[in-house]
Amino acid sequence: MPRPLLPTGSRCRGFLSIMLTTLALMVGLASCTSDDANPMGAGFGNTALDTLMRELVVQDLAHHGQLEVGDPARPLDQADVLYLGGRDGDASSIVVNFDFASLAHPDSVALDTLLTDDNVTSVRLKLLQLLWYLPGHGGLVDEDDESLRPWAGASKVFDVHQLSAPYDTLSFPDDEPAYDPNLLSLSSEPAATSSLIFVNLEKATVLRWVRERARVGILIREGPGSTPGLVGFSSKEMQFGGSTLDTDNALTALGPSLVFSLNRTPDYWDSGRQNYIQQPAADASTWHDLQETSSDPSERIEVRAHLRSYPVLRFDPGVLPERIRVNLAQVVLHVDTSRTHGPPNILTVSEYALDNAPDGTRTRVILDDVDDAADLIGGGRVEPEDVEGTVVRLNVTSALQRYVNGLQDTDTGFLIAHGERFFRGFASSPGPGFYFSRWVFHGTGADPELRPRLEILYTRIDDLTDGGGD
Amino acid sequence: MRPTYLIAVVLACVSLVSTAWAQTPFSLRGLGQNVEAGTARDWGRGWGLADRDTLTPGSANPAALADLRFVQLLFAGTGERTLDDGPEHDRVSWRTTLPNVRLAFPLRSGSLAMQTGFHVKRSFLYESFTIGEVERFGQVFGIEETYSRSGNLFEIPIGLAWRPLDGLALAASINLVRGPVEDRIVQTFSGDPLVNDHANRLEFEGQSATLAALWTAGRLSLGAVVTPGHDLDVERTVSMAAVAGEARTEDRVAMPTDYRAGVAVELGGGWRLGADGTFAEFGDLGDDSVWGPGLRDEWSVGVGLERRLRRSDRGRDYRAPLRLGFMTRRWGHEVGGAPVDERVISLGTGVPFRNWLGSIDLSLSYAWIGNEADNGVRSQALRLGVSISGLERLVF
Repeated sequence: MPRPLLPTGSRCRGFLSIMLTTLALMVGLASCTSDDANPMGAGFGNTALDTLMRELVVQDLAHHGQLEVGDPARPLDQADVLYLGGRDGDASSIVVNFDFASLAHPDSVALDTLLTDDNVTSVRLKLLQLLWYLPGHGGLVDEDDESLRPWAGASKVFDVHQLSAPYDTLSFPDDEPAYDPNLLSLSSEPAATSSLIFVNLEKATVLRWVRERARVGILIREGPGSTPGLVGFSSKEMQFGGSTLDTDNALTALGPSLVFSLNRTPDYWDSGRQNYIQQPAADASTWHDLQETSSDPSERIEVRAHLRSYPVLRFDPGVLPERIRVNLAQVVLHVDTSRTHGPPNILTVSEYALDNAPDGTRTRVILDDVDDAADLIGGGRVEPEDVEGTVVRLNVTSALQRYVNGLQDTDTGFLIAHGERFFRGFASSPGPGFYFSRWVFHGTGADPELRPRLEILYTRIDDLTDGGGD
Repeated sequence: MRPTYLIAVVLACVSLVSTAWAQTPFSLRGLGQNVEAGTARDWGRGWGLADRDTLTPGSANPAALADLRFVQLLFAGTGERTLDDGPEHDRVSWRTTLPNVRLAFPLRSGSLAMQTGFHVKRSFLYESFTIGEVERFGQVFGIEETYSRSGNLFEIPIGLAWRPLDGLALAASINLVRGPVEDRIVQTFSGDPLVNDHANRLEFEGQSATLAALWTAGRLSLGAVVTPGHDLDVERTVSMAAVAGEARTEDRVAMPTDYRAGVAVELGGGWRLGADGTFAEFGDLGDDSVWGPGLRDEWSVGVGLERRLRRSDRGRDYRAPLRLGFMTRRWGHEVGGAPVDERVISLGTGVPFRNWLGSIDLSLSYAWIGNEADNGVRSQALRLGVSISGLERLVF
């Protein structure tokens, strides 16, 4: 008879009962969960990071270079916005070329009978002012927002002159081109601050251009009696806002246009259409007065949009201890509200090789160069609405940690730029080339509390092992 | 007992053993918590150093192995529920451990045996969580801090037990001492500051030697185990998440001589009375030790009764063993400027495998550790001890 594996009889029952009890208890214990940790035992340990997040302020600005950034893919004459007027040392007029030679095309032969002195009742220059430049910024933003100065709009007198010759599209920013001092515009009264602006022009002169199939340029200047201020109008390249406009033919042309009002229209035109529109061949802002961006950080630090100009800053990191955990590092800039204007835009901060932005200079680069050289710092982004009062804080924690860790191959600084298209996830719309604006920050010569600085909160890794010395 | 059956039981138990972030908060300091040597048989009766069981040798005194006649595989583990009481908070925690494993086999049946295995000597396992706030650059940040300590100090003995005389058994072993102990602090902040994840890890490595004797004369048994003082190499690694590199330093720490002695007396009728005492001069290590300040001499005294396992009068059944014990221990470090005292009452029983080839033993104990007035916290631990000792004729 084979031996049983288990004890038999009463021994079996005893054995099994103990085994089952044991296993049940172990299963029970294994499945029990402890209470969540709580302050019980806090302070019992031999170690504690009781010197966490030390404060360090770095105000020594070791490097300041300014990048003047051009965009070959979208030169100034292809900008979306045309600027008129002046502000804080910046001034611009608008130049527009019209090419009536297009009327010589066989398809336009019917227009010859329409664009005649007796059939044309008036010729007007049409401008579409951007919503931002209307009073209260067209209701786009809360006027109570301290980061935005209240804006009552600027009522302009539009003086229109004929240029001595059609302008060279790539010549600006530059002085206004030579022009006939005689006005083509018929009114010297300020126009209403509306979105759609019409300026009556001398009909005879314009019809002469038509007859001569001329290529002409006009200059639109801010006339005497205008309300000071810089305002923007849609250019022929405008890519925003078109879908919100009425389908009236007079309005679907977004750039500066000539509107010929007609007594008689062709039969094949839609009923109600009474205008012939001559669209521009080219348009541009002159920016004949343009305040240079600062190359002196004691005077100011500046970020400019539209005509992009971005600073590269480096704070002297020599005071940083080794082997630290950077909990938070922020570039802190105080906005000089007296010199800041224009629509606020996203601010980003990137690591940028200092060699590409020499100290104390303005360096001309193209946007692709910035794309290649800028290494966006994650989290280093400030939305305009995130600005508290007049203080801008740009988070550079990860970059500073890389510096502390010795992982930066070259000397780098912080490039402060707007949300360019190549900053994945940080691109702004419209892009930085759209609106003209200046963010001016107090420089190193300002009162100490207003100076640019790098604020750091860090924890020393050795606090546990050496008693947490300073 | 068939090997397959024993292995299955052991695997079933081991598979259930896991650790949780649970121990008494006193283990956050100094030398952590002492882990009992021996088996549930020893834990139930409060002593074991003078135990002489020629069939199923105990493990508290390695000299007892000299009587070994079969290969012995021994597992001893505990399940523990601890309630920590403090003035403002309390916490219930659970944990299971398997601190003692031994494989022993006779080289000459009943007089010479060899053993190896592992034994966790000290355990560090607790986690606390606090919240607070700190003001920096004029801004108030909330802080959540988790402080946890984990790890253990264990040894792997390789030794011999020998019976030169009928009443005297001797043993010696070389112990490979190893152990990681990690203190970790994780601080998270409200707002933008990034987390501090700081780890301070100690790696111990060294050797010790243990000498043991077990002397029996009539009803009296005396046992003694001594592990002379020895040095351990300590490598400290300090690291923090996101900070490049680790700071490594090397040091040596002196471990004091560990004295253990016990006595047992046969009272008749299968009853035994025994007592154990232990002593280690941790206080001599000073405040500069890697264990931190506040070390004290550690000692314990245990005493208890055991009614031994025996066949019933009719010879067909067993009379289960019964064990009762009491133990008091002063921990090797102070908390709150006062010593930490632990008192334990226990009881136990067991059941043999067929043909008495091993046994399963159980113990149930209740411990009071520290007190609120002196230490700020009092812990009460309910422990279930389970040990499985299997004997087999394998290859020897």
